Amino acid sequence: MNSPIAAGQVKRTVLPNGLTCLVRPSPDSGAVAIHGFVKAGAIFDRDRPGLARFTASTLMRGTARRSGPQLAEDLDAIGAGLAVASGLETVVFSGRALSDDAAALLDATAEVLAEPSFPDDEVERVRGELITSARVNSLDTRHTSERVFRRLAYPAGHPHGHNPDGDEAVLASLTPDDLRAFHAEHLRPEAAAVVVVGDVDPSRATDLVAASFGRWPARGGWAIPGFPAPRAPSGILREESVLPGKSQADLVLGTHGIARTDPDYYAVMLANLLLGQLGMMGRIGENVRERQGMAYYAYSDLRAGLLAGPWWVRAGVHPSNLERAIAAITHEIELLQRDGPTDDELADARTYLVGSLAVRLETNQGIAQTLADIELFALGLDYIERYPEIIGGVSREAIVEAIRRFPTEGYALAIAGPQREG
Amino acid sequence: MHDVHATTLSNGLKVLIQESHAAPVATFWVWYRVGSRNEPSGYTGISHWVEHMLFKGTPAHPSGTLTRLIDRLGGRWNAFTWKDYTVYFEVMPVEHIGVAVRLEADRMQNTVFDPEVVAGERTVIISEREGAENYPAYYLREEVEALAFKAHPYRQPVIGWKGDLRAITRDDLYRHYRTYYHPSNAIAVAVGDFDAGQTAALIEEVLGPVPPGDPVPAVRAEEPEQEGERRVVLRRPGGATALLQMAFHVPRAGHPDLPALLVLDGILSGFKGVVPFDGGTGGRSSRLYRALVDGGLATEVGTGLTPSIDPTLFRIGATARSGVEAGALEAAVNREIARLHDEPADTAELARVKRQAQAQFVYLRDGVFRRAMALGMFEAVDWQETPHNLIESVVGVSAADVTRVARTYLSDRRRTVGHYLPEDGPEDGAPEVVS
Repeated sequence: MNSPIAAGQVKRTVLPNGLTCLVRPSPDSGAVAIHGFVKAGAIFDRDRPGLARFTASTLMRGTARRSGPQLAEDLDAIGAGLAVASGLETVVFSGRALSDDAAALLDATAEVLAEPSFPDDEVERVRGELITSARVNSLDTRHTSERVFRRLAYPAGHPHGHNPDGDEAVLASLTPDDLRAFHAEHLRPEAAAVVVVGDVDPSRATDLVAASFGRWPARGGWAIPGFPAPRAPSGILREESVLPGKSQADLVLGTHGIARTDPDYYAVMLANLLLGQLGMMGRIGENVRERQGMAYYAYSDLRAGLLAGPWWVRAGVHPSNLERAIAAITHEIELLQRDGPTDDELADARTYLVGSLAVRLETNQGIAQTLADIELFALGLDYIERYPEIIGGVSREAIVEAIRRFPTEGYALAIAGPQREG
Repeated sequence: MHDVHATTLSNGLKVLIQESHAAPVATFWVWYRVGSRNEPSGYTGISHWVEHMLFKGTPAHPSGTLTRLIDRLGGRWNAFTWKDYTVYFEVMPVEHIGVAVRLEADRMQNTVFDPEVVAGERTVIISEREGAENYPAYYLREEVEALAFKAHPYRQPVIGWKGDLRAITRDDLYRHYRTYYHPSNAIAVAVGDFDAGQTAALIEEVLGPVPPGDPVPAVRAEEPEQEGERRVVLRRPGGATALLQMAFHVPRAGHPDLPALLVLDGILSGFKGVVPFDGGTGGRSSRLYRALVDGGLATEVGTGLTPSIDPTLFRIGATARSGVEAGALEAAVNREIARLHDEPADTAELARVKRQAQAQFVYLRDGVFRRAMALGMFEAVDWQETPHNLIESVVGVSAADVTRVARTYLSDRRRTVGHYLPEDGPEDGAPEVVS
């Protein structure tokens, strides 16, 4: 079977200003999808959680060339979409347009990233939206359990320990100049990549990216700042938040995971797949949902990024089932740590990962997103071609060792839900 | 979308097949014409529960092995239940599409309803419902729907009322399954990197021998004309900010006013397409976004219309910016509705919405999944249109058409208004965010 992304199909160019451009043709789709990142997320917030988020959220609200409403009208007039979102590590953007409008979409994207103007009235409007969103999320059980988990699992000052919504006091105090300064310092072409997938000639698409993004001035070197290394707690750090008016309790149990570039990544990823994803949410789903009927969702997730993001188990249960669900989760982790996976399970996990490439990469948007990850983590353009070999090369022993890294003696456990009886 | 091969097998199964050669994958779907629309009082949520049971195995594919089988072949699968339909799908590497067809044929007929498994799933579904209950917007939606319809089962939530979920028995579920799951009440859709003729032969071979089943009970309920505005104010803890939901009665799929209503929807919040779960691409130049979000009243606003078998609702929803009252949101929405009644849409605005519609139609081609969803949905709600013809109708809509449907359907008499007001939360009495 042909690989869904072959190195020979992808044209990779680094512009003089340091921006990386990847183009992969997809004839006959009639459209283009773009996806990209700037390594300018909350890793640069320092003591102002919410600064990166506020900056990224205001990028589309006006540029040196167009007001926010004008930009919105221009995109709507061609039926194009463009969205910019800030994560803890990167600012991510994605969009789509008819292939005839590829230039217009790329122009708008470059303008938004390189030349935002942060108009006073738009900054105030975004401030109100972000503060509202933070307040809504402070009464949301899933957001609250995640927020508390991050605080418990990460040392102070670590970006993964931040409230992803930002701190309300910080959001309230930032000025347009603060956003401009953050933009000027951190949104730089050297830290960015743009992927174009669709019904365009690769050379022409590269020229379009060069024409629109070439104006973005180079800033020089780029590095992730140093952070205190997260360490698993010596005991169980448990915290419950009581929220009024709720029916269900949501829980997050786990620790920090590993970085995507860690050599053990594939072993830990496979271990996590077996623990809480494969089939109906892995071993954890099999026990908590299928056998005990306690939850609609119970799964594990490994957030391996530039830094060691969380490795957590999440579930939503009736408050009266909380202790039983937690016991079932830790039991499954311990069982997998003690006995390892069965041969069948392991074979299924491997065939699933390799066999599902075609299905996971069947849309332009899916391919664009995967190419952006390949660039972000320097995996190489032949990554998808090498993928079967990579997955086949992870030994059973390495997977068992990886699952044993999940600390059952010391972890963070955050719960948010209604007042419990008794 | 012109090249759809449509046939009906002798057992009544409608089959829609389309080739797509962009990637070596294929998708197979079965749509059953059953959902909360078909549920009598006391049995709400039963269609969705049956959907869950179809993942629990058959004698040939015992519990647990189904998911493993799909995983091992590199596929993904899922299902969803809506008011008008219950839908199952697989997306597979194209060489394994036959597995999906055989699996669907098997679970259409042979799903085991083991009493213990039924009991375990009862609590899973109650947990699904309780997860939704954590959001005040969910409660408000239930209130608004139950108020907007007094006779028609569209008033019921798809997940079901909790009392019904506690009471439904194994035999109720099995009877529902037997009543609605058969070829003459189903639509099969396949889209993929295959030869359409060979796929048609495969579907005929596997699903052709399945007995057609008896005609399903008719849904007789007809919603009477609404005689005056209805309102609900929901006060409960759990939320931080006020919410507004509005619903207007509009016609069923296939009614000649639908294209104009879709354009109206586009003018208010951006054109979204008609495939379930499809969002629009933009909409930030739309009237409601400008008035409510740019206007500093709301953090988000949306409108929508799900094409349905029976007359349905056109919905408007908005989340207040912290400190803004629901009444202020409602007044701003009312001003925009009055403008639609009083002034024709301007040419550039109309052109923008139509261009969005045309672009959405092209985006539908990205991947087999959404193409198949579009084909199945049109058929399931008896919409005698193809997505392609629909776009042509949308392009033909005039400013006068928009004014006419706005006056006809977006009237006070036809609407239900719901406000959610936060109570006892930490935000009570919080200062407004000043801009």
